[in-house]
Parts: sequence; C-alpha cells; structure tokens
Amino acid sequence: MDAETTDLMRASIRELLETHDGDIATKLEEFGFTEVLDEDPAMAIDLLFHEQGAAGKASSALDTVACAGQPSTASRRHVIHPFAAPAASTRRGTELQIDGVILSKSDGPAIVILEGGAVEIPAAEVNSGTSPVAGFDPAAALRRVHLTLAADTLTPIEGDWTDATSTLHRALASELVGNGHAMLTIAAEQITERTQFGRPIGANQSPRHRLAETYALLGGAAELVHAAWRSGTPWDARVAKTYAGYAAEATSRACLQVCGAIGLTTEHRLPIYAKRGRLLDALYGGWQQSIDALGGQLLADAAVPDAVRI
Amino acid sequence: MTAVLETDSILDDFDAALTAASEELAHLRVPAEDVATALNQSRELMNWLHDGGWTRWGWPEHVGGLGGSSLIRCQIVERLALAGYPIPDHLLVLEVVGPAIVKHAPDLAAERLPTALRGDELWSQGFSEPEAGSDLAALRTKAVRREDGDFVINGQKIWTSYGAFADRIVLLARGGTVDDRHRGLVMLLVDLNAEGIERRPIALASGREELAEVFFTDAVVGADRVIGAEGTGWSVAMDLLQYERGTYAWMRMATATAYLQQLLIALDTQQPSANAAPTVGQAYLNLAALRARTAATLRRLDAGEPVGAETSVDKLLLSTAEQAVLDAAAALLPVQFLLSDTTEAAHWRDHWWYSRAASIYGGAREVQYSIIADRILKLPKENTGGR
Repeated sequence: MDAETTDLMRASIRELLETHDGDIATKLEEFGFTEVLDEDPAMAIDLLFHEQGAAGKASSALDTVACAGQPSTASRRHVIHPFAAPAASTRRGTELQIDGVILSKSDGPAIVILEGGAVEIPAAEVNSGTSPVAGFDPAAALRRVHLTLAADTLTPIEGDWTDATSTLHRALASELVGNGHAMLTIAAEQITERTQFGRPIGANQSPRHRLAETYALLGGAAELVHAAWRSGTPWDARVAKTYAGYAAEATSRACLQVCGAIGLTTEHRLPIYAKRGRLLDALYGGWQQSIDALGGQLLADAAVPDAVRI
Repeated sequence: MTAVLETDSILDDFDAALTAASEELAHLRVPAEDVATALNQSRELMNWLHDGGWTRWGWPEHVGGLGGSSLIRCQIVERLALAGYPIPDHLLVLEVVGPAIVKHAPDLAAERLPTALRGDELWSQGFSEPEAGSDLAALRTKAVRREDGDFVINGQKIWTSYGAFADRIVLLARGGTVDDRHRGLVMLLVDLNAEGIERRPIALASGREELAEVFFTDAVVGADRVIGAEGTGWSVAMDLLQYERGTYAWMRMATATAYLQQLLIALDTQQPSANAAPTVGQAYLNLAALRARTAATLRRLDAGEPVGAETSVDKLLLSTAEQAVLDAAAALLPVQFLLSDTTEAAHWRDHWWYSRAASIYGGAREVQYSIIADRILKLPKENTGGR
C-alpha cells in the first residue's frame, strides 16, 4: 500500500469517526475498507484502530477484523471477547463456560474463538445470558455474557481461526497507541496554554519530563505492533498488546496528573480516553496479568524466544 | 525481495559457521577477569568475524567492507551475542564513530578503518570533559591550527571507554573560545601514543577499569586527520550520535537480551520466587520494545533518512530496558549478586553498574526528556530563571 493510498484511507476513516454517531463497523464496507483489509491487513488494521483510539470512540470493528477472510456465513456474527482474562471460555468436563463481552448493540448469534477454532452460540442462547452494562465506561455500551453450555451442542464454524486472536491483540494494541497519543496531545495543549505562578505549566520540568516519558513508551508500543505484524506470531501479538496497555496506562496517569482537577470532570475530554483505555487494556487480559503470563513462559522455557529478523 | 533472501541466507551461513567454530572459540565465551583480558578476547573475536567476512557487511568496499546493508551486520552481531559471546569492544566503538568517518573523511577512512575493522587497532571516542557532560557544547579542549597546517591539542577528556588501552581516539575539540559553543569545533582522529598525551584509568564502583581520563599537552596532530572540515565538528558529532542511538543501541539491546538469557538459565536451576515471573516479564517487554524501536531506526538510517530528535526515544528505551534486565538479575539472584566472589558474580555486578551509565552517557535521560518536550511535543521552553 503506497503512502498516498494510506493517507486517503486515514482521511476517510477520520471523517467517518467524526461524522458517524453510531457503530462505524456497519459503515466500513461502504467505503471499501474490506477490500483494503484483504489486500494489506497490517496497514488497514493498524490505521483503523489507531484512528479509532485517537477518536476515543467505541465500535464493533473488532468483530469485523476477527471474521475477515472467513467464509461469508461467519462475517456477520458478533464475537464474545474475553474481558480481564486471555480467553472467553473455559472447558469444564462436557461444559463450556463462557464469560466475556459483546461489543455490538444488535442481537444475533455470536462466536466464541477457541484454541484452533471457533463455535457458534445461537441467538436465543446469547440473549438468555447477556445483559447490557454501563460500568466504568458507559460509552462503550458493552454487553456482558455469562453462559454455561453443553460443549457438544455447539456448531463449529468453518474457517481458519488460528490467527484471529493474534489479529485482535494487534488491533487492540494499535487502538491503545492511538488512545495514548490522543491523551498526550490533549495534555500537551493544556499545559502549553494554562499558566500558574506566572508561566505556562508546561515550562516546568516535571510535567515536561512526564509527558516525554510517555511519548517514548507509546513510540515503543507503536513499533511493537509493526514487529508483531512482521513476525505474525501469537507471542509477539501478545507482547505488543501487553506493552501498549502498559504504555497507555502510564500515559493516562501522567496526563490526568498534569491536567489537574478539570481533567477529572465531564467538562474535559481526557476522561473519555482514560475510561476507554482502561477497557481496551482489560480486553484479552490486562497488562499486569499478561506480564505475569509472559514471564512465566520465559521461566518455563528458560530461554528468550527467537525474534523476527529485521 | 532479493535483498531479504540474501540477508536470510547470510544469517543462516553465519549461524552455521559459528556453530562449526564453537570449540575453536570456546575460550571467548568464558567471562574475562579484567579489562585487559577482555580486550584480548575482543581482538581475537574481531579477527575471526572479520576474516570470515561477517563484520565486513554494510561497510563500503573502500574501507575494507563488503558493501550491502548494515542491517546484515547488526543481525550477525545480535546472533553472536545470543550465542553467548560478548560483542567485541572494538566493534562497539567503531559502530559509533565509523560511519561518520566514512561519510565525512572518506580518504582517512580508507587509510585507517580497515585495520580497526579487523580488530588490529582499538579506537575510542573523546567527547566528554570534566565540565562538558550532557552539555557537550561546553567542551574546552583546544585544537589550534599551526602555520604548517597541523593542530596542537591542549585539554582533557574524561569517561573515555577503553581510553587507557586504545590506539586512537576520535576527538572533538575547538579552535576558539568556549563562548563559541557549538561553532568552531573540529573532529580529529588522534594517535594515543603520541607525545604530549597521558592517560589515567578510572575504576567504576565495581572496580572495573574500563573508562579513563586522557590529558593533552601540546600534542600535535596532522592536518590529514581532520574528520569533516575545520569548524564543522558539531555537525559531524550530531551525525555520529545518530549511530550511537541506532547501531550502538541495537548492540546494547542484543547484549542485554543475552544477559536476560543467562538470567533465565541461572533461574532454571533454583527454586522460583513469586516475583520472578513479573520481573523477567517486565524486563523482556522493555527489551522487545527497544528492539522493535531500534530496528525501525536502523532501517531509517540504512535508507539514508534523517532520524533527528526521535532517536531520543530510542535512548530512553535503551536505558530503561538495560536497567530492567540488570535489576531483575540483582533482585532474583540476590545472594550471588551481593555475596559471591566468582567471576560470574563479578560480571553481574559489572553489568549492573554499567547499566546505570546507560541513562547518563550520550545525553542523560533528563536531556532526552527535554529534547522530546521541546522538539517533538513543542512544550513551552523550560523556565531558565536562576540557572
């Protein structure tokens, strides 16, 4: 994908995010995003989710990319995404315990991605175990799913689902980077303009250094996303998501501090991003939990995994 | 695509050659007792890497290289480190100063670099001074031009890596007064065995004497040793620092990854503590971010794109990662780190102290923050009252 096409794509995504009130996932097909997704998934997904992160808006676009390239029957279903855990389902004997969230507001059958495949949960079952939640970020309009089903009654969905979770990790990482950059821009603007003790707040060393540190973390996070696309491994995708969650939280903490009390109110844009960032981190397991898991794996292997060639 | 395939096959060949030479090179994987021994090992490994053609990738042919991309060399050296060999000290210096000499003094590079690239000479870098650390433009060492065109050097450099052992030094000095700041500087390649030069090793807190002070009293340097032109020393130095943020940072990353690898092996033989997983997980994550970021910077440098202020990010990620790895070792191997007198334990301590330097040399962490705040985030300039 050349630079010009990328710029055009970015501009249309931005416009869509600015002008469309509802879930942009339903609009993506209209302006040809799905073709770009086929042609250059790394670019398309990084761009879309970075911009969505920067806009601070929720959508079910994650479902679109999870189902991209799957047989058409699967393309309209909702995915049950794990929340504060790496997977949305646990097998207990003959039962499948499902615990997660649905991003879309519309009803219908849903998908649970398992290791090496996916199963469909019929609409009636989904409805029976689903309730809308407001929680920390009501704007996300999540629906919480709690279900226990007999595993052998569920229909496997055709297609190759091996990379789906990694794709979602990378998409979430891009959104977290976009989210972090948006917070950083808001905070930088505010401390440039607002004065205390007769000088701009941003002329003091402490807030300057705090924001610079988060800029560095977000820079590392953005490159980890690219590296994860290059290697395509689940490990690198998880590393990118974990680091991005860590970077976004550090950014949120720094920005909420330097913006002062107004940054904690509904009159300020910052909380929109702070709420969203926290939720994004928790999808597929928060960074702290994930660092534990990655570290545990390193200890078990007693080796640093091979890194992708550059 | 051809280039990628070629790089892949070179790296595969290197892995095979390194495995084949494993026995021959076994003594170079053993930690050295002191700096002099380490430098002997470094020279031997440099010779082997050079004669096999491995470290000649990415250097132009007129300085003894094989051409091609420096990304090949970077990845070769990464694999070397992960196979348990220290990256040669000789090479660490050349990766910083070499590209700038190739660019700004092609004749001098053709004449002098080949010997250094083979490891038959050890070079060093003379920038910092007692009164010019992060504020490099405050340097005082004078290089005054005589009528015959030669330069006469007077002054003092400090924190020079390998300064007590090196054969030559890439020296930044000035023709005029300190008030000229970054104007009127000159970069010179100086022989350290010349008359009028004295050196004093500095022992780091671990006892390791890797750094030195270098004193110049009327030392004479030929006009053919100028890198760039007289008066352009600052821009040559800034160009050089890009490589310190690019290639050098990459090599430090590879070394720190090798340390993490050693730590994981050491931990494998003992009862795991509860904080082991998050501690090594965090260290690994910081290394992964550094590697991804530095790889992108290397690609930009390789393509001849300017990297500018953005490299401050690389420098910050470098010191964070290096310190996280060595802090992990100190925390998870506490008895060895604090009480043991084995060479291995002494190495962990050496590396730990050296990792503290990562946020000081080449512009302290605070200076990098200021660069990002000023030039990237465009925040108001810091209050200068009282300073």
